[in-house]
Amino acid sequence: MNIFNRIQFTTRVYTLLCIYIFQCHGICGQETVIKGTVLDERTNKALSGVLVSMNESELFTKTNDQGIFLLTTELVGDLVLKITAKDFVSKQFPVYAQFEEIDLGTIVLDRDLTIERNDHLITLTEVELVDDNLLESGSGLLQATRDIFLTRAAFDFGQAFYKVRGYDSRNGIVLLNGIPMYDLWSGRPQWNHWGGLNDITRNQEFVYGLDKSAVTFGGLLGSTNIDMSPSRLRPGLRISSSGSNRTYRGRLMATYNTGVNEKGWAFSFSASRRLANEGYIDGTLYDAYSLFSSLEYNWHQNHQLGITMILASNRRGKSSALTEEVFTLLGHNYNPYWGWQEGKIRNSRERRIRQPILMINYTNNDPIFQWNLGIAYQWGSQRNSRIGYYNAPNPDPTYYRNLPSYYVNSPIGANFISASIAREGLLNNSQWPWEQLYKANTGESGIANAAYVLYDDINKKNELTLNLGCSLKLQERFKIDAGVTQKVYSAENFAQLNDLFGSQYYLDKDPFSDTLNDVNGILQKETGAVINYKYNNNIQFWDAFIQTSWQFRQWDAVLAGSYSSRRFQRNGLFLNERYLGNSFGKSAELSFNNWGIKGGISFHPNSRHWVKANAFYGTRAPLLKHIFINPRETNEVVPNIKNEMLSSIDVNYLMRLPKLTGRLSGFFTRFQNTTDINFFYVDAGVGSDFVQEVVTGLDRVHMGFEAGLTYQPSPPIKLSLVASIGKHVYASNPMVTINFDTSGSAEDLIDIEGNRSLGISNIKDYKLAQGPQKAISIGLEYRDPAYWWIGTTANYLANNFIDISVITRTSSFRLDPETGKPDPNATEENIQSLLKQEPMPATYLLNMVGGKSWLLNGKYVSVFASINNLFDTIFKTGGYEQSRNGNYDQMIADNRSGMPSFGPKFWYSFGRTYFLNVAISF
Amino acid sequence: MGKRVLSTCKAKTIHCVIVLLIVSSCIKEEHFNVLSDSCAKQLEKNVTFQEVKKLYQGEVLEIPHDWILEGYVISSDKEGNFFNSLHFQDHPVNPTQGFQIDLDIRNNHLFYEVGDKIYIKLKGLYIGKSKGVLKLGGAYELFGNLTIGRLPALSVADHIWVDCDQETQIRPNPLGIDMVTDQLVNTLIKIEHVEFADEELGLPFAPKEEMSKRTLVNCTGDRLVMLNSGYSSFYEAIVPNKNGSVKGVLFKENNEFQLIIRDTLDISFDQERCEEIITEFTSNEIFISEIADPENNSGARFVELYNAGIDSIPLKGWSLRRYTNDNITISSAIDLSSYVIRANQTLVIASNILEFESTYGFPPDVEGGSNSPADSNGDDNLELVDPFGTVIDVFGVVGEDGSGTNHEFEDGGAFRNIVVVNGNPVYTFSEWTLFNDTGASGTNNEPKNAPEDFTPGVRE
Repeated sequence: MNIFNRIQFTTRVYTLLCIYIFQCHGICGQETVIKGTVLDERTNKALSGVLVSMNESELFTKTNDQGIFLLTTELVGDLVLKITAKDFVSKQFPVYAQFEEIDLGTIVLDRDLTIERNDHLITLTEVELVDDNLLESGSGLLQATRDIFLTRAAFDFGQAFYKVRGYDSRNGIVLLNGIPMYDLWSGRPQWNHWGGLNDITRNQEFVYGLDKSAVTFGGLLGSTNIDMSPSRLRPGLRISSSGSNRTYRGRLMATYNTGVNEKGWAFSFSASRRLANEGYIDGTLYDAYSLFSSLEYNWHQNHQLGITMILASNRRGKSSALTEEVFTLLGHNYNPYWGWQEGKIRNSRERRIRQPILMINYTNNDPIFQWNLGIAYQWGSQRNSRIGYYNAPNPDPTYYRNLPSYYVNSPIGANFISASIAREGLLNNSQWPWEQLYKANTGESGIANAAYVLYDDINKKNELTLNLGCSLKLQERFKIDAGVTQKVYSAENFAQLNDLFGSQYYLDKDPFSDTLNDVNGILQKETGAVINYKYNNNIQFWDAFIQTSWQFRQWDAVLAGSYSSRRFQRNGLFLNERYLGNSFGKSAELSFNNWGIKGGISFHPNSRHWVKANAFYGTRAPLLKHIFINPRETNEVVPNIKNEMLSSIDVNYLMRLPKLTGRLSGFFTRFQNTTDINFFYVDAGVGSDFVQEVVTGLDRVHMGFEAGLTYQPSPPIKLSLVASIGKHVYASNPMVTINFDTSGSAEDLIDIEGNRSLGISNIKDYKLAQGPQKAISIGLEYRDPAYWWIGTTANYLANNFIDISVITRTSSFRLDPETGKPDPNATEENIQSLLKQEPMPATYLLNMVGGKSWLLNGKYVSVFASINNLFDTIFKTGGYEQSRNGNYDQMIADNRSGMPSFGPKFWYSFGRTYFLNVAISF
Repeated sequence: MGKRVLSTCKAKTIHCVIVLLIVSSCIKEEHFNVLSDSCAKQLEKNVTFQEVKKLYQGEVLEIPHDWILEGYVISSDKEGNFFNSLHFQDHPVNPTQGFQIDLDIRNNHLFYEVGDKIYIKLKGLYIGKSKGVLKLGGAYELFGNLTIGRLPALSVADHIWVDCDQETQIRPNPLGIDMVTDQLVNTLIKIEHVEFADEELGLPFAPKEEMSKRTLVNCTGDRLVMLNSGYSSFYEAIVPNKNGSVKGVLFKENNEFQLIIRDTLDISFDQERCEEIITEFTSNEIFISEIADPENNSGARFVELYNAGIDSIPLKGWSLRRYTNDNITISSAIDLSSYVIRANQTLVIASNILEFESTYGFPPDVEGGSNSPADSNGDDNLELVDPFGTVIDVFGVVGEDGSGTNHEFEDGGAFRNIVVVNGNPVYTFSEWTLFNDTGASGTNNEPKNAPEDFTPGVRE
C-alpha cells in the first residue's frame, strides 16, 4: 500500500490547493463546504483517489486514504455532486448549496459489474472484413459512454451496422494520451492499432457530438481521449479470457500495473492474444497479438513524463458481399475467398496490420495552467493480399460467369439445363480452388509465366505527430483550452509478390492492354519483387484550435475556432506504360487551408432539466483517397478539387429526475462539396471499360432525432426506451466523370482523352447507405444485490438502404451503346421504376447479457456473458449496387429473369452469437 | 526502476509466466508449400469411345451410366485457336478413336495440357451432334430442341480428372493428305508434304475476329481445309510459303474435313514448294467437226469436236461459246474442263442427253442443255476457246445472223470437210459443207433428218 502514499499526498495537496483557491474567491463572497466518506460496498474499505466533482463547474477533488473528501464551492442553489471511481458505479447526489456545511456521511460505491461489457463491445464492433469495403459501425468510439442511447447504439444497434447520426466514423476523433490518431487515407480512427489492449484503454474521456472537449476541437460525432498513463490504471494483475463465435474464438489477456511507487515511477504491461481458425463467417481466420508497455515518472507535484510502446499485430481473413443468388444457394456465412490447402484453411484475401506506436508524453498538471506535449511515432505496414490472374480464368467461385444466372441471362435465351448444372457445380466447388492455381502454374505454360499469383497491396508508413495542448483556468467559471497538432506522414505504396504457386516468374504487365507496369524495371519478377505499382505519398498536416468556455449557475457557453492546413503530394516510382506522361515523379503539391467555428450554449434552470444547443460551421480538406484519381498509376488529380463544407446544429434536452433520466436530441447536418472516387468495370451507354468514376459536388444531409430514457422503479431494476429516427440523404446532383487509360486501340476507347464527363447524376433525395435510419429499442436490466445482473433488449431496426450506383443515374444510362443514341424504351418513367431505391427488410433483434462477480481470497473474479441475436435472425446489414449494368438496355436484360448477374451485393448479419469472458484481478 | 519491476516480477512468478506465455505464443506466419497437382488416383476406365458414341441415336441425351472414359488430351487453347473445347484420343500413339468435350472455361490448357491422361466421368454429361460433329458437353434448349452445348465451368472439375502420371508424348502417325478418313476425326494427325494453296500465299491465317479457312494442298493437287480463328494469337501472321508437314486435330464439320492447329509450331515447312503442274494445254488440232439441227427433231441437236492430234488432250480451261443470231456478246458457253478428248477421237456435246440417246442409240459425251452452244437452231455462231483465251476454231461470223448466209444450217447440219486437220479462228467457207432449208450463198437447200443423216462420234 506504500505506493498509495503518493496519491494520498497528491490528493491532500490537491484538496488543499482547491480549498486555497476557492477560499481566495471565498474572501470575495461566501462558500459551501461539502464533505463525506467513500467506502467500497463489498469490503467496507475506504476508497482513496475517488474523484468528487460537480457537474456545473470545473471543481473537483479526490478522496484521501481514509476515503474522506472535502469540497468547497461558492455556487449556490441546486447542484449535483458526482462521485466517480474506476470500476465502480458512479453516484450522483443533488445538494442545495446555501453557504452551509453539507455532510453527506458515508457513501458506498458498488463495483461496476457491467465493466466487462466493454470487452464485448470490441468483438461487436470489430468490422466485418468484406472485400475492400470496410463495414464498420464506428461504435468503438462509444465504449466510454454512459448515455443510454449511445450505449444501446453501440451494444445493440451496432450489430446491424447502425451508425450514430448516419455519420462515417471519420467524424469521431480518437486521441491516445491527447494525440489524435487516425488513418490519413480514410480519415477514420484505426482501432486495430491498439486492438486487444482493452485493459489499458479503459480510461476514456468521451464527448458526444458537438459538445466541448478540453483536448480537441472534436468532430461531428464526438471524440474520445484514451488515457493510457500507468499512474491512472488500477494497480495489480488482471488476467482475463474470452470465448466467442464472432470474429475470434478465443482471447487471453493479461495486464500488470505497478501503480506509482514512492519515487514517482509507474509501469504498465499488457499483452493479449486473439485467435480463430475461422470466425462466424466461413474462412475468416483471426490471428492477433498485442503488447503494451509504458513507463511513467512523476516528479514534484505536477510533472508527469511517460514513454509508451504499443504493438498490435492483426491478421484477418476477409469475406465477400454476396448477391442474393449466391446467398440463396450457399447461405449467409458463405465466403468464396477461402479454400482448403493441405488440410488448412487458406484465405486468398487477408489483411495484416502491424503498425507499432511509440509515444512520449509530458504533462504539467498545474491547476491553473495545465499543458501537455506529446510525440507519437508510428511506422509499419498494412497488407492486403489478393489473387492476380493473367490470361487465366477468374478463380472466384462466385464470378458471374460461374453462376447459374449467367446461363439464365444468356443473350440467346435462358438456358435452364446449364443453369442447373452450374448450380450443382457451384454447390460442389464453392471454395477457392487452390489446387487449380498450382496446377495452372506448374504446367508447361504457367511455369515460366505465372497464370496466378498471390500479391499484397502494401502501405508502409512513417508518421510523426507532435501535439501541444493546454488549458488555462482563469477562474472557476472561465477556461481556455487550446491545442496544436502537426503530422508529417510519408508512405510507400506498392504491390509485392507473395506466392507464385510454383511458377518461376511473373510478367509485370497489364494483360488486357499488354503494356508494362514498370517500364524501367525488369519484366520477369520473382517472389518478393514489387509489381504493378509503386508510389509515395508525402503529407503534412497542421491543426490548431482554441476554445473558451464560461460556466454560470444556470448557463454554460462555449465558443471554439479551428484552423487546419493540409499538404499532399504523390511521387510515382514506377513509370507506367499506360501513363507515360504522368506516372513517374512528383505530382503537383496540393494545399488546403480550412477553418471552423463552433459554439454551444446550455441552460439548466435546476439540476433536473438541462437544455443544450450547439452549432458548427466550417470547411475541411478532402481525404487523401479523394484527391488522386488513380494514385496507383498516375499523378492525375481530381480537377478543381474543393474543400468540403460542413454545417451542423444540434439541440438537446436532458432530464435527471430521481427515477427517470433521459435525453432527447435533434440534429441537422449538411456536408457540401464532397468528392467520391469509385473503381469498376462498366458497360456504359458511352462504351465499356474499367473506369475510375469521379463524383464531385456531392452534398449529403443528415437529420433526425434521438431519444433515450431510463426508468428505475427500484434500485435493482432499470427499464429503458431508446429511439432514433433519421433521414440521411444525398442533397445534390453531383457531376460525374469517368477516367480510363488510353492504351487500347483508338476505336475501342470511350474517349481518346482518357476521360469523359457524364454530366450530372440525378441522385438527390436518394437515401445514404449509412445503416438503419430508424432504430427503436426497449431494455430491461436487473442488478441483484448478490452481485449478479442480467439485461435484455429488444430492438427494431429499419430503413436501411443499399449504396446506390452513381453512374446509372447519369444521362449516359439512357444511351444504347450500339448506336450511341438514346434508347427509346429508356423513358423517364421506366428508368424511375428500374432504379427505385427500396429499403432492406426491417429486422428485430433480441440480445441478452449478464454477469456475476465473486470476491475469493481477496481476488476479484467476474464472469460476463452475452448472447446476441437470440432468435438467430438472418438479415441484410448493408449492400451496394454494382455499376456494371451502365446502360438501360443491359440492365433490363440482366433483370429480366429476376436473377441478375450484376444485381446488388449484400452483407448479411451474423446469426446467434455468444461472448463469454472470465476475469481475475489480483 | 527496472530492478523494481523485476523484483515485483519475481514475487509473482506465476503471473510473469502467464504473461510470457501470451507473449511467446507469437504469430506464426502461415506458410504453404507448392502443391503437387491435384490428380485422380483411383479412377479406372470402364467404357470405350465406341460404346459412348453408340449412345447417340440422333437425339441429344444425358448420359445415365456411371461410365468413365479415358483419353489423352491433344488440343490446346493456349494460342486461342481452339475455344472452349477439349479434344482427346484413346491412345497416345496409333489412336483408333477421338472425341471432344465442350467446356465453358477459357484457357483450359492451364488445367488440361496436351499429353495429359484424363478421365471423364460421363454421368450427367450430354452427348449430341452439332454441325455434324459428335461431342460431349452440357446442353441447352433452342426453340424447344435439346442442343449440345458447353459444360459450365465449375462443373468441369466434377467431370474431368487428370491422371497422376506425367504427360505422355502424343505421336501422330504421318500420313498423306489423301489418307484422311472419318476414323481419324478428333485425333492428332500429321499431314506430310503439303503447302498452302498458291492463291493464299501472302494472306494471314485469319482476318481479325473471324473464322477463316485456308487450304493445304499436296503436289498432286489433293486439298484439305485448315480452320483458323481470328481470335488466335497468330491470326495476323502470314501463312508460310514453303512445303512440309502440319500437325493438328482433324475435325469434320458438315461433312468437310478440317485441320485445326494448336499453334504455329505445328507447322513445319522447310522444303521447296511443289513444282508447278501443267494441267492446261492448248492445241490447234482440236476443232468443230459436225453441227446438227435435224429438221425432224430439234431435241437431237449436237456439236461434235474432233482431236486430229496424236495425243489425248485434257480440256481443262477449254470452252465452247455461242453467239446467238447477231449477238456480239457470249450468249452461252460450255465449260469443257472435266473432259479429255483422245487422239483422233470426237467429243460429242448434245443439247439433251435423253433425246440424243434415244435418237442415236448411244449417250453423248457431254450434255450442253437447251440454249447451250449445242442447241443452235442454225443461225448462230460458235467459238472453241482454249484455256488461255485463244480462239482455236470458229463457226460462222460473230455479229452476223446466219440466216441466208454461208453459215446457216437451219434444219440441216454443218460438216467439216474431211481434209481439215486444224482449227481455224477465221470462218472459212471452203472448209465446210452446209445443208439447210434455204440454200443461200453456196450452201445446200437440203434439210437433214436424224438419225440417218448425221454421224455423231465418227468423223466422216
